[in-house]
Amino acid sequence: MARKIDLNIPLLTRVEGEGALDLSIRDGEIENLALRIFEPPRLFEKFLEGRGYEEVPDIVARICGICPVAYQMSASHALESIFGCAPGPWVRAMRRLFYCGEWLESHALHIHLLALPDFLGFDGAVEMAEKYPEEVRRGMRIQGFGNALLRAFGARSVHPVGVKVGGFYKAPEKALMDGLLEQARELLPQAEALCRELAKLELPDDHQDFVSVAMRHEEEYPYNEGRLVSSDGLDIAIDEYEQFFAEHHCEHSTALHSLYYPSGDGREGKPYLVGPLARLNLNRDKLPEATQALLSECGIAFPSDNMFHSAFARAIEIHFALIEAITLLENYDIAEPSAEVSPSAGVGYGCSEAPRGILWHRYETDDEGRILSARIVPPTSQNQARIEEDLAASLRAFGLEREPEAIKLHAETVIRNYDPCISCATHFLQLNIER
Amino acid sequence: MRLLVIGIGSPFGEDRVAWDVVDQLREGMPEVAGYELEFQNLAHPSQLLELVKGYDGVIILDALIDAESGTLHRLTLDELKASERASSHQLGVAEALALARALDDLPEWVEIIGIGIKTGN
Repeated sequence: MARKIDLNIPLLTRVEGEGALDLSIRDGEIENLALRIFEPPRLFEKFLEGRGYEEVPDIVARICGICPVAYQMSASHALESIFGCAPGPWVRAMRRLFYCGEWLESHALHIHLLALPDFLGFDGAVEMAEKYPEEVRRGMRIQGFGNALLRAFGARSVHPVGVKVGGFYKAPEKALMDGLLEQARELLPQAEALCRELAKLELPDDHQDFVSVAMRHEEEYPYNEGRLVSSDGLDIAIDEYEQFFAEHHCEHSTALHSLYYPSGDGREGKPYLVGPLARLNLNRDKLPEATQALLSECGIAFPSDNMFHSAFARAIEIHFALIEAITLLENYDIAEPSAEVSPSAGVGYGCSEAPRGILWHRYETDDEGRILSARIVPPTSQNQARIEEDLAASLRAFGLEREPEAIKLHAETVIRNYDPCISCATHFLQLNIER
Repeated sequence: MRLLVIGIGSPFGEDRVAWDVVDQLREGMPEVAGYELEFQNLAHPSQLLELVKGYDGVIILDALIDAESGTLHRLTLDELKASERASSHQLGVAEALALARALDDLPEWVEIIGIGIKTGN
């Protein structure tokens, strides 16, 4: 007798934004699996058309409450490339510091409040906080420090307003930065403890075949600059992105699906991974010595093809971001916070490493710097096809004959590994299982 | 007795009503013997977590949709939880308070006052 089970997660929790999962299992096989992103389209690319270049950093910061810095950085770099503006070493260093703040607040939130309850067996952060109050407090301290860094440059931590094309509106006061340096030094041992604890978690031994894509820079762990590289040998400039990556509309989602075309001819597209695990897989050698030593001591080998190592990769990046922030804060001096900008017509590209992976922008401007067209490709839409591919593989490995509640929890755990930011991607979860 | 009065809102439209009320209380609230009052406006409920520890009581004001404009509603934590739209973008007021309670940072005395506004915007 045919057995058909329909499972529906109507609203995914502990992810940023709103989406659902539909799953149909017939006779022990997956018939349909769709990560349904139903948050309304955001249309930011259209809002930008006709706006002056000066408005872009504040508008794109509105796309996400968790990763506004990424949007501001990719946009500023793209527009500066058109205008031939080179903001110099101070701005470059401070952009890295600003970005450290965003990784710290986003990663700390995800590990402690969104992902860890799955691995420790709690329904949510509130239940976990009763048993593990110190862990939750630590997460909140790291997140709070990240937010303080964002406020130093952006006046507020959500939708910061301190960025302009060419740099920043204001250089933070030296006394404020000295205070932040002290906080960062206090947090570093806590980040070490976090990495050691996460390395000891019992995780599914789930190896999958996927391509990692991330930025790579000759001298540093990537934030704002570098080339785009992949685990299967791609190495391109950011302006060649459209030849190798393309977005498609899927009926079940208001987010676009991106696929990677390794041969660059638009054929045989496949899903790919962006984000902390992909970054660490491709940039381990660029971590500071102390973080590399900690990683070795923790005993998890990278590159890793186990998606459940994502949370650990995120923790390693917290350690990295604190060390980077300490270095940058130790050398902090007030300087001219921006370079002069002379707008011109042209096409420019920006790509930076948002907490969830590469965030690619393309702008076309007229000779007064007004935006003629904009294209924004966020990390979650790039990961969406990979998440569906992972879900199919992970649920088969987990056992499709299990109880719907167990399947639902496993599916949610798999999805949360990606820290999907559905709000960013909609231009997200309910689980609907059919079997 | 140390009390913290918190207004939650945003700068936009009627969502700023709790901020305006807190601003007016800060300016015009007569001194009450035995009570030390502090006032704070917040844009994000998650910020509650850092703030509520150490007080004897917390009074939270927030705009309430689906209630007659200008009316006041005293809500329990459970009522607040039921009134918040399921969203995962960030901690809601109810979730932030529940987390503060789980961490043993939340004072025993918590008052939640909803102020009716015309629209949900």
